[in-house]
Amino acid sequence: MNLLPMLIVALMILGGLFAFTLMTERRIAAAEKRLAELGNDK
Amino acid sequence: MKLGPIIASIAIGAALVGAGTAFVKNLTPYITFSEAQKTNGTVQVMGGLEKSSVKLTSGNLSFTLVEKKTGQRLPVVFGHTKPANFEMAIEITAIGHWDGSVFQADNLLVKCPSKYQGTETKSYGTK
Amino acid sequence: MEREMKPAAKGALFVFTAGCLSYIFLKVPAAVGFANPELARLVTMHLPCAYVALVAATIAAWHGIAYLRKRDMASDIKSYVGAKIAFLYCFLTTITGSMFAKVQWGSFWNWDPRQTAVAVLLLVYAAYFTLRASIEDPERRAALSAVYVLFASILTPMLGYVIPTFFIDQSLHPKFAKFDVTYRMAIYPMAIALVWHLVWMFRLSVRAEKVNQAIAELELTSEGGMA
Repeated sequence: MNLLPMLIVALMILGGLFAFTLMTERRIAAAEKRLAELGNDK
Repeated sequence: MKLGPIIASIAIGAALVGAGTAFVKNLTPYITFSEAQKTNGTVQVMGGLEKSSVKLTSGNLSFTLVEKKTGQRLPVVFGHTKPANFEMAIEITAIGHWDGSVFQADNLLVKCPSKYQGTETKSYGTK
Repeated sequence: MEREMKPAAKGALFVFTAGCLSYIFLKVPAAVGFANPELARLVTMHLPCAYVALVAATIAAWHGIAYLRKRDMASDIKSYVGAKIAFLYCFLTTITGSMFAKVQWGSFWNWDPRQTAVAVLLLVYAAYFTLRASIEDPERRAALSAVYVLFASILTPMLGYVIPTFFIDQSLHPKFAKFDVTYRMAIYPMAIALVWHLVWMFRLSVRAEKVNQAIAELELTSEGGMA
């Protein structure tokens, strides 16, 4: 199919953006938990 | 307030803008036809395609490019297969060298149209 | 501190983006006169990326100015995140442009004026990150970064649009492209989708940056306490 490259480009960019933000959300949640623990240790 | 660093940064920034402009202007890869005819190495030239000049003889594509500013004409020969939208091309970039009588192109880049439209008739119809 | 995007908003964004994508594939026609008419649709990704790079550069400059006026470290973080997103979108514009060039002109890279300009722009942003990495003192780093990011932000539309359009005669890029209604209906909503996503990404990245800095500080003080 002639449109396949276009589909790959669009999905890689848009999918990549969504994946990045969703992953960042999880990373932040973990980091904020860690911050709270560090605060409690003090 | 430390004014020194701020003024210095502004000066540096202004210099950067100036340098950037000069840089970009100089790094335009396309040289004039008369320059190309004096150069031995591989160069890029750009010009309008003279439709009536397009000829296909024994696998060689030959055509004439017309320089926009000067109106100068440059005969070009290309030994490979014709680019897909060559007939519709308005401007062509040829990468190659001048062999003394003709510009031997190794590669042709075709400028795409500036209009994005589905069918040609539609845009005329709605006008 | 940073407002989080609500799950409903995220869902709406996802649906909107999927809608934009479907429109590109179902409604946008192949464009007449291109070497590869089907893949002329690449412009519907290429151009929105360029718009969003400009939006992000403006955000970076805005918060850079805010830092210089109020000396608030939160502004420094926002400006930094803005610059990172601007760099990301300059990069995406370059990548999509290079693919577009391959299918339409016949070469991934031939130093067309706009390609040269965007290469310089990417280096300008790379220098910004090097600058940040090389300064230890947070306040000095914030001040110098803020000034530098102003110039990077001015250079973004200059190198991306003004210089190649008005100061350079020959280019394989069209100077002023005209789009029929289907193309416009694909390009602008896609730009909106990307900006909407940018808001989400921006807030998240600012939060991440703040948390990481707070953890680094705590670790530093707790280590100091133990010694």
